[in-house]
Amino acid sequence: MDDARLYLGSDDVTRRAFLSRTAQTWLGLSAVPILGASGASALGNTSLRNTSLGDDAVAIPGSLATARNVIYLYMSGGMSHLDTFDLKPGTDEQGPTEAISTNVDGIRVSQHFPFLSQHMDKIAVINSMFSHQGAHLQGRYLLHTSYEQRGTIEHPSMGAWLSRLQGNINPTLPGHVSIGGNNGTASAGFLEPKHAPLPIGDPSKGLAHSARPDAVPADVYARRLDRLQKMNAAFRKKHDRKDVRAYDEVYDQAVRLMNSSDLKAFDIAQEPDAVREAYGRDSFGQGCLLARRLIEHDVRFVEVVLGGWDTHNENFENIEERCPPLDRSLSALLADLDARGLLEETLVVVGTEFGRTPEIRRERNGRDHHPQAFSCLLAGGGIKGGQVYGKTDATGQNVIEKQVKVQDLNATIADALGLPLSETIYSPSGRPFTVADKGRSVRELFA
Amino acid sequence: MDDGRLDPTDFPPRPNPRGPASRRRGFTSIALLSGSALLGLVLLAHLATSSSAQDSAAEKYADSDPAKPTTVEPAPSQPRRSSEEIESAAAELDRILESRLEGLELEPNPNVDDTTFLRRLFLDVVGRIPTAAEQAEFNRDSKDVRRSRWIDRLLTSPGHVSHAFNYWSDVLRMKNRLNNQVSGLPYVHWLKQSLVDNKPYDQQVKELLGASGPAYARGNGATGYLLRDRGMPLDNMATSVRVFLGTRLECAQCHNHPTEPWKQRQFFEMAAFAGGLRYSHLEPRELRGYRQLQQRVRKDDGQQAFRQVRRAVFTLSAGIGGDGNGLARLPSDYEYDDAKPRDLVTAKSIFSNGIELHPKLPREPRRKRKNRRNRPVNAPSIDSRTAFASWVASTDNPRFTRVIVNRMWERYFGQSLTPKFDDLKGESVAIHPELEASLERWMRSFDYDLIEFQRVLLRTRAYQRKAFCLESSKSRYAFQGPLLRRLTAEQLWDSLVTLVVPDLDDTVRVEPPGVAALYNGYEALESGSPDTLLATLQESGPALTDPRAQMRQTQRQAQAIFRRYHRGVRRRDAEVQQKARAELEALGLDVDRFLKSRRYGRDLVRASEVGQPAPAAHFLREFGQSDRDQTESSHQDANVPQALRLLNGFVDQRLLRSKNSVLSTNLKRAKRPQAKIRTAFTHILSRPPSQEESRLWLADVRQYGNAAYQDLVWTLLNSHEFRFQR
Repeated sequence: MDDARLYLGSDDVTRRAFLSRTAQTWLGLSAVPILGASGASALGNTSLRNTSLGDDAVAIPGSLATARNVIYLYMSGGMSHLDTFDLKPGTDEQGPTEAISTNVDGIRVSQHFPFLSQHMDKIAVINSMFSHQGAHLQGRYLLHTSYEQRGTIEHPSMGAWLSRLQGNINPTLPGHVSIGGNNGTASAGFLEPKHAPLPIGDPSKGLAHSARPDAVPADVYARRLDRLQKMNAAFRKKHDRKDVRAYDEVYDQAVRLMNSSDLKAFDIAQEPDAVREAYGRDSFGQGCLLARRLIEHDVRFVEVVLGGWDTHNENFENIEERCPPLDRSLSALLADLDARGLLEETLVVVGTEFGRTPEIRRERNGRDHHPQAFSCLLAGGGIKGGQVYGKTDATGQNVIEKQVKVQDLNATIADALGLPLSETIYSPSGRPFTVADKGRSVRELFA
Repeated sequence: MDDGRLDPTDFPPRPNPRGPASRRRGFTSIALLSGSALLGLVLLAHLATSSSAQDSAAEKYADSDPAKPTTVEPAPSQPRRSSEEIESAAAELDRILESRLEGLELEPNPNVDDTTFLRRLFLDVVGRIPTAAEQAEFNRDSKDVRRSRWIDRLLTSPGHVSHAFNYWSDVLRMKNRLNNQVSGLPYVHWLKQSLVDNKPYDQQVKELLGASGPAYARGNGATGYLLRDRGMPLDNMATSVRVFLGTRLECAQCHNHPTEPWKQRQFFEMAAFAGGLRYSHLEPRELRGYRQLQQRVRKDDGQQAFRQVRRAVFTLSAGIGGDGNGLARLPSDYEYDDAKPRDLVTAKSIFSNGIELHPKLPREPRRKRKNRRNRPVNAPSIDSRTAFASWVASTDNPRFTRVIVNRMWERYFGQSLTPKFDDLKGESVAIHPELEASLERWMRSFDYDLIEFQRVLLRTRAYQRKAFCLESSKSRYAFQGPLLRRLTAEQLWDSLVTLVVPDLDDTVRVEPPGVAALYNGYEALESGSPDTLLATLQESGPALTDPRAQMRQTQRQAQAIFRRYHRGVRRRDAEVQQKARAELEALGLDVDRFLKSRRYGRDLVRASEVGQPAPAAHFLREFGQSDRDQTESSHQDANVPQALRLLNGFVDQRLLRSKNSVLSTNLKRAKRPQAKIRTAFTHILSRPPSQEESRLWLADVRQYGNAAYQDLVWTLLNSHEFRFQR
C-alpha cells in the first residue's frame, strides 16, 4: 500500500512525481501563460500571488480562465433580495429595511451591510437571478449542479467538475472542501469518489483526528495499514462496487492528509487573534478564514455555508440577525484576499437558491420563497467590481433586464476557472453532461 | 469526544407523580431477560396499558375528539398472527418472485449461511451487530426454528424500537427543538410510544396529519409534525404528499408541473385542507388576553416577572389550532386562465379516490388597498384537516399502501420494488408489479400492522438469500437476494458502542428526559385564564416554567453525589457508597443506569438516545445522519473525516484504550492466542476467522506479542467488512 510507505516518510519521490503529474494536468488543461508560475507554485508549495491569469493565450478556445480559485459562500434557505442587495425604497413591499449608500456612486445596499458598503467597488451585484425551483432541496440542488434533481442520477457540483476537469494542484489535500454544509450541498455526483468534497463541520476545530495517536509508533501504524489493505483487498475482490471503492479512496486521502506538510492549512489557530476577530468568531466567519488558508495551500474550491435565511416568520428580525455575519466576514475576506494579492486570482461568490417574496405575509411578518427574482454576488477573480448587473421591476417581483439563470451563474464561474463549457462528460451509465448544463457565461461581468 | 460536559440525556426524568414509576424501567429491563421474549412481551403490554390509564390530559383530548385518539392503546406489539399465516404469506411472495425471476432467466442467490444471516438480521431489525452472547444463544437454538424464532424475538425488542425510531426520525424530521423554540421532545415521545405500541401505520399517519391541540399535553406529541413547519403549511403539505403518497407536488407550488399532470391550482386546492391552520391551540382572542397580561406584568412587575410569565404563556399556548376551513387563496402572481390571482379555492384532493369539500365561501371585504391582499382567510372550521388525514391514510388511496410496502421492502432489501417511490409518476412501474400488488394486499389484510408485515418479509426465502453485489455481478438486479450496503450512521454507532457497553439496549427510553417537566408544566397551567395564571405561577414557583433549569440543578446535585460515591469505591467504603446511592435515588434517578453511564461513558448510548439530531460534529452526523431539515436526507457516502475518525478517533480512544469495554474484557478473558483472535472476529465481524486469517494473525502474535491484538481490533474495525452489511 502506497500509504504505508507514504506514512513512513519516504514520500518525497512519490509526492514529487504526483505533483508534477498534477501540475501537468493543470497546465495542460488551462491557461498556458501560467505554466511557469503555477507549476512552480505547486511544486515549491508557495503560491504565486501576482500571476496574471488569463492574460492572453487560453488552452480551451473561448474560455476565460481569469480565476484560479473559488470561495463560494452559500446562503442557505433563500436570501431575501429585497432586504439585502435589491432594495425597493418607498414601496409597501420594502418593509422597515432601509438603504444606505456605498463607496460606489449609485449603488445602494441594505442598512445591515455597513462594512460591505465600503467594498462595493470590488463586487458585482447580480440582481436578475432566476431559478425555476421554489423548494429548498430542488433549488439548492439546481444551484450547485445546474441540473434538476432526478431519481436516476446524481450530478456533480462545481468543485467536483473542477477536480475532474483540471485535477488537483496539491496532491495531499483534497481538491475541494465544504465547510458547514452538512446538508450535502456539494457532491461528486456520478463522478468517481475522489472528486468528492472534504466536509468540515466546525472550522475552528479544523480537521479532527488528523494526527496519529501518540501511543502508536509509526511502524506499528504502517503495519496496521498494511493488514487493513490486505483484508480490504479480499473484500473488494468479492464486492467490487463504487461505494466500497469510495472507502479505499477516502482512506488513501486520509493517510495522505495525515502525512501532509500542508495539514496546518486546516489549523486556523495559527492565525493571529486580530485576524480571527476581524473575520468574526462565529462559525461562518471562521469558515471564511479557513477558506482563505486553504486557498493559500492550493485547495481550489471552498464552499462555506451560512444558514438561517428561510425567513417565513419574522423576516425583518431574522434578517437583522443574519446579515451581520455576512457583512463582517465577507468584508474581512475581501480585504484580506486583496491585501495578500489573492483577490485577483480568487473568485468570491455569494449564492443562494432563491429570493423571497416582495409580499410580506402579514400574519407572520414573513416572506416566502421566490425563485423568479433574486440576488447573487461575484467579486475578485477577474470580475469587474462596482457594478450592478440586471434589474427587477418596481417591487422586486420579476426580472425585467438581463436575466441570469442559475445555470448562467455557474457557467460564469466555470468560465472564470477556465473550464470547458461545451466538453461533454459521460456518466458511468453513458449519459452526457456538461459543466453548467448549457448555461451561458455572462462576460459583461468581467473586467 | 467526551468533553466533560454534562449530558442531559443521562438523566431519567423524575417519575411522573401521577404515573407508575415502574413504567420506564419495565421497558428498559426487557433486554436483560434474554431468552425470555414472552416475558418481555408481557411487560411491554403491561407498561402500555398502565400508561394509558394515567393521564387525564390525554384522556381529555381523546374524549374531545374521538377521531384523534391520543391515549395509548393496549400494546399489540406481540405477534398476533399465527406462524402459519405468516409462513403462507411469505411463501406466496416467494412463489411470485421466483417465477418472475425464472421468466427473466435470472437465478436467485443461494440461501445465506446462518452466521451471515444473524448479523444481517440484527443490523436490519435492531440496528446493531449481535453480541457474542447473542450469537452463542442463537447457535444453541434448534436449527430448523431459530431463524423464525429470532425474527419474532428481535422485532418485539427495545432494540427494534430504537432502530425503527432512527429510520422514522429521518422520514418525519425529528428534532429536539422545533422551529420557534417549541420543544420537540413530545414529538419524539409520540414516535417512540407509537413504535412501542406498534400503532398501525395508517393510524400513525392520521394522528400526524390531523393533530391539533396543545403541544405539551401528554400524549399529544403528534402536533410536532405540523409545528415542525411553523409558518410553512404549504411546504408541510408538499412533504406529507411526498412522504406518505410518494408524489412530488412541490413544483406545482409556483407553476403547473412541467411533466406531471399537476396544476398549480391543484396544489392550492390541496393546501386548502389545512386552511385556517394556526400554530397555537388557543383562539386568537385568548392569545391576545395573555399578550396583554404579559405587557401589564412588564410594566408593573419588571423584566424578571415578565420573562416568567412569557415562558408560562409559551408553554401554555404552544400547539396547533384550526381544524381546517377548506379554503386557500391563490398567489398574487397566479397566471393561468382557470382563476384570477388571489381567488379563493376550495379543498379538493388529487388522485382517483379524490374527495372534495364544499365550504361556504366567506364574504370578503372589498379590497381597497394593496396591502390587504394577503389577508388570511377567515372562515369557520369544517374539520377539513381530519378529512385530509382520512383521505391520505385510506386503503382506497392508490398510492398510500404502495408507498409503505416499498419503504418496508427497501429497508430489508436495500432497494425498493418501484424505483424512487417518493417520486412516483404515471409511468412508474415496479420491477415485479405482481409482487408489489401482493405486498399491498397483505399490508391491507394486516390492517397496516408493520410488525406483522415485517415478519413476513423477513421470513421469505428472498430475504434469507446471499447478498447481491450490484456492480461485480454481470446480471441485472431483480431481487435475487438483498443488496450489499453500507451501514447507516446509526447502525455503525450502535455497533461500535455495543463493543463497549454491556446490555446497550438498556439505554433506550420511551420517554425522553425532560419531557415530563413540560407535561407537568402545561397541566398545572392549563385550567387557567389570564386572570388565574399569575396566581398559579406564584403558587408553584419558577420551576414550573423552566424545566431545563430544574434539570440542570438535578445534574449538578447528582454530579456532587457521584464524586462522593466514587471516593467510596476507591476507598472500598461500602457505607459511603450505600449512602450516595440512597441520595441519588432520592433525586429521582435510576441509580444503576446512572452509575453505568458513569462507568462506560455518558455519551455511549444508543443513537436514538443521543439527541435529535446529534450535534453537528458528532460521529453520527459525520457518517451521514440527517440534520432533519429535509425529509430523508441521511446518507451513506464516504468522506475523509469518517476515515480519520476510525483511523485515529473512536476506535483508538474508546476501544483500544478502554480497559473495561465489553471487547477488552472478553479479550482478556480468552486465554490462548487462538481464542483471542476468535473473540475479536466474533465480536466485531460476528463470524469466526477463516483458517487463513487465523494463520496470519497467529504469525503476528508470535512476532509482535500482545500488540498484535490491538492491531487486529483496529484492523477489523476499519475494514470494509465491518461497515458493510452482507
